[in-house]
Formats: sequence, structure tokens, C-alpha cells
Amino acid sequence: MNTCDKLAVLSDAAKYDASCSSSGSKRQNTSGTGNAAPGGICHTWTEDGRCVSLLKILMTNVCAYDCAYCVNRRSNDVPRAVFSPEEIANLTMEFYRRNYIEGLFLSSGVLGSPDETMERIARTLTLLRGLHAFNGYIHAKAIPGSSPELIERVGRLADRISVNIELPSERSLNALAPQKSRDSILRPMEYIGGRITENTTERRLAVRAQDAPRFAPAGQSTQLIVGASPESDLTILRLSEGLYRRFHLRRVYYSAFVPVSDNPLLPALPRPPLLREHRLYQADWLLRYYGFTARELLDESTPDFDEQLDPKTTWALRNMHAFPVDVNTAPYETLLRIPGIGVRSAKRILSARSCRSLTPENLIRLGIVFSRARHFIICSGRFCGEPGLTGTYLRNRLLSGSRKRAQVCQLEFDMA
Amino acid sequence: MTIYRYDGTFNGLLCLILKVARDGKEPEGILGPGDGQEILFPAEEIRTDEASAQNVFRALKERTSARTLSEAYHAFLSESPGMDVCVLRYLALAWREGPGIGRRLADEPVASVHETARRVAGERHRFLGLVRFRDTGQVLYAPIEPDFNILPLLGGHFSARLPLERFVIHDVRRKEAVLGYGGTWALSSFDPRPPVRDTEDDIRVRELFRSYFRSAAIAFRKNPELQRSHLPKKYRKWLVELDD
Repeated sequence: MNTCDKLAVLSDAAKYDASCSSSGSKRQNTSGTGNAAPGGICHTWTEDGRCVSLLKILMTNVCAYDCAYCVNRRSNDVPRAVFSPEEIANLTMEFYRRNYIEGLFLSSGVLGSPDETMERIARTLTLLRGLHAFNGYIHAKAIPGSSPELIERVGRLADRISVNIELPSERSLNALAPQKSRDSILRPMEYIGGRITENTTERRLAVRAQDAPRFAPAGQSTQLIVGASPESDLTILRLSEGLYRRFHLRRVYYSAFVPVSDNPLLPALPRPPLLREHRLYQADWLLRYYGFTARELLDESTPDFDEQLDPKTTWALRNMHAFPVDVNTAPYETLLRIPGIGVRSAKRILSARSCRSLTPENLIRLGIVFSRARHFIICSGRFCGEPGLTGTYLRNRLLSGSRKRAQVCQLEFDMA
Repeated sequence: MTIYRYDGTFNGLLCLILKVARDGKEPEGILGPGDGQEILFPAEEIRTDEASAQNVFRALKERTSARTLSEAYHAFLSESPGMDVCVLRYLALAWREGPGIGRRLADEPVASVHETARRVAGERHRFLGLVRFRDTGQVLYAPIEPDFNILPLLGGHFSARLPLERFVIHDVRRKEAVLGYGGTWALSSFDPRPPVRDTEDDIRVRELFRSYFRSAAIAFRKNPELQRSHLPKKYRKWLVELDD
């Protein structure tokens, strides 16, 4: 198989990983090639509308495991290929210097044992950082079950490191991924989380930067598959919340399950649940940047998101006692909870209102979605919505007000 | 009636600001190098002088903030009609008000300047990703056709990233280029002919990327509308991974 064929096989096998981010690292160029852009850079967008930032490939799609949801499972009849560390390093450099990509995202099927696989990943990264003096972005996978020593080696070379949980409960893991255990996934995550925290302190205390080499400066992330197993949105969101709090994860990615098998253990979905995935991303943003908790957004009586309306508006409609809010006096945290006002417009409101009292026209100028926000705000001393428009009527107004039908898109500006 | 004519550069505008400040008269019009032939009244020519431009820059930075000047510069690079007047008013207001001007987002000309600056910075960010170098054997060459004059905003990024390469980023429409070498860069007028030829090696790598690009899409999620919203047609011309 030539490089071109291998590349086709091994990128095809890697594409179900939703992570595309190249942000969160400030790695500088030290007389070699490349550096990291803290905000991340997208280089192109494929036909499915997802961005290409990193060269996302598997080292091999040969796999000892037989996870039912995975396209690379041992029992699946697909062409297999293996890249050598040299091939991956050369490909990365050739793409990078032409500005096709922002760096490398290297994952792998389990070739032999987890440790053997991890060792090859470490060798590839050593080649890139050493021989090629490459300082661009690298995201590497920690293979579940590999040893802490190897994870340590990879963490020192990579910008971001991730372990995919994939299935949001132990029960589903046991059923669909018999060779993986909850423990083999969570242990490396815990180790990585601990090392990142430790490293931050080390670097703060170090006299010279080189005394405390970086460990995964762009942090840790993971992925959850949505719709391959029966968990509710509440279960998934509470898991994410726990991961952010306990392991200080930078991102949790959600990947709508794409039917890659007719295993009877898997649901027969007519199409991937893209809208559900989108609502989960919106809720994830609410957890990380808007000060919401999972419990505020969902509970046992409504364990799943309303697909018609975004989670924040849904929350607001259930909590009308908190509104209307006066935009000229409300604190930042309260502004963030108004539908139609995001992080950027809330900050703009704070600065602009320090110079003048804001009118509805000013608000539009500042970029808030007034048609949505008006039902929840007081401005210039007046309620901006329609008196008496409540409950179902308000909900219908908000539904028809969103000009386009709820659309699936990818949240990809990463403020890590 | 005072109408000024300047050379259309940011330094020229800074010199114009100096002139306006000295004369104490608000200009009724500003003309770039090419425009305003049909105007009856004679325009006063502003001579661009690097040194006094630098002085104005420093003085403005001290009295306002680096952020304010950066907003003004970005907005200026949009080259939109009337933006130079807007930037002039913005800087005059900043001179009177100091760094607090950045908070007056709901007022003109602050709103227009910031909004335009945001669009220019946005296009610059987009091109950090969309620049595609071709390896000609001697240099890395990338043609681009941005809406705004973003070349001066791209040089630093690529020279920090590729200090071991010689590279050319060519704004095809404006016939200008960033020339990068050894970690430094310069702007220059540039209009190569005959057109840059492809090497076999480059075609091979390009084919690899095209193959990668095709297989990275998930067929089940196909969504050309979403692709178009991220990657408008106008930016596709020089992207090696696309057929159209």
C-alpha cells in the first residue's frame, strides 16, 4: 500500500473523533518549525461542514478490541493499514509547512498491547519534536490501559492529550466494549488530570522554565458518543460536569452515533442524532462559560433537552420568576442568563453602560439578539416585551421568532 | 473649506492628523491618491513623513492605549469608503477622552470603527488558516485574494512560524506581497510573470492532502450549507484541496 492509500484508510478510520481543536497552547517556536496559536486556527472545512485544523489520523486501524460502536472493531471487514512513525512525521511536516494544517492529532487502534501502541505514539512524537524541531500543535490519544510512564512521555511531547470515554455509563461499556473497563479509562484520565495540575504549580515555582518541562499545556479532553446507548441527556451532562470539576477537562466532545454496524445491541437509528448532539454542545457551553449547573438545566422529570428550543431559552421559560432583568443594572452573571445575550454581548453591555444608560437601539448596536432578549429585559425603565405574553404563547413566539428552523451547526470557536 | 489629500497609507493618515491638530480646523473632506478629481475646490496635499508619523503614533499610544490604535489600524486596513474619515474622528475623540473611549461602544464613531476592525481581524484570522503555500523549489508561494488589505497583519504570524523557509504571500488583486526570510518579513509590490510553476514534488503532497480532505468528511453528516457558511465561495479559489 502506498502512502496515499494508507492516508485514505487511516484518516477515514479517525474521522469519527469529533475533536478538532488546536487551541489552548502557547508553545513558541525555538529555532525550528511551527508554533501554537492560543486561540486555535481552522484551515479548511470538509463537505460535512466540520473544520480541519489538525491532520487527524490513526497510526493503525488494526485493533485487538471489538467495541460494537467502533468502525475499527476487530470483527469489522475493512481494509487495514499501519503508518510508521517516520511516515507520520514526514507527512505532518510536509502538510504543515504548506499551511494545510495546524498540527497533528494522533490516535490509534490497539496494535498488540496498549503499551506497544503507546510506545509507537511516543516514538512518533519524539521524532517530530526532536529530529524535525517541530513546535506546532500535537494532540495525542492515551490508549486505555497503557502505563503511566508512557503517558508521562507522551504528555511531555504533546500539547493536548485525551482518553475517550465514548459510552456514558459502566453498563453500556460492559455491553458494547467488553475489552475496556471503566477503570482502564478513568485511571489514565485521573493520572493526566493530576499531572496537569501538578505541572502548573511546578512551572509557577520553577526558577528557570526548562526546570519544569510542560505537561500537556493545552489540557485534557474526552469524547462521549450520543445515541449508541440508552443514557439520557441528564446522565450525559452530569458526567461532563463531573469531568470538568474532578479532572479539570478542557473540553468534552459529543459525537452523534453514526450507524457503523448492524450489531443487535445497537439502536437502529435512521440518521445520526445531530440535533441532540447540538443541544448537548449548547448545554456544555452553559456549564463552562455561563455558570449553569446540569441540575438547573435538566431534572428527572425532564431528563432530555427540548430539540425545538435551545437549553438556555428552555431554562428561562421555566424560570420566568427571574425575569425581566434590567440590563442597565444587572450584574454580569445575570446578564449571561438572558436568552439572546452571550458572553461577548454581556461584556459589551458592561463597558457601554458605564458611559451611558442603554436604550433598545444601543442594545441592537451592541449585537444582542433583541427579538429574543426583549421578552426578558427592562431597558430605559420599560419592559421591552409584550405585556401578558407568557407560557405557551411566549414559547410559540420564540419558536416562530427564530427565523430559521433549529439548525445543526458546529460550535467551534474555542475559548479555552 | 478645507479638503486634504493624502497618499492613502496609515502613516499618511497620521501625518494628516498632525496637520489637523496644528491647524485646529476639522477637515470637510479627505481624499485618497486617486479620488476626487471632479472636485472644484483645490485640496491641500499632505506630505507623508515617516518620522513625524512615528511621533504621532507614539503620542497617541501614550495618551490613549495600544488597543485603541490597533482598532484604528485594523479599521483603516478595511479600505472601505469613508473609513479614513471615521478613523480620524475616532482618534480625535480618543485624544480628548483617553483610554476610556473603548467603553463607548454604543456611540459613533466608536461603534463603526470597532465593528470594522472586528471584520478585518476576522478576515485576517481566517487567512491564517486559508493561506496555501506551493513549494516551487526555491520558495513557498501562496496567492490570496482577501477583501481587506490584510497582508501587513499576516507577515508576523508566518515569519514566526516558518523562520527556516523563504516564503511569499501574494495579494493577487493588490499586486503586493509579504516576503519572508529567516524569521523576518517585509512588504513589497509584487506582480510575477510568468506565473509561478508547480513542481512534481508539490503536486504529490497536494494530492495527499486532497485525498485526506475527501476521506475526512463523514458521508452521513453531509451538509454543504454548513460548509459554505464557514467557507464562502469567494475564499475557495486558491485552496488546493477543493476542485471548484
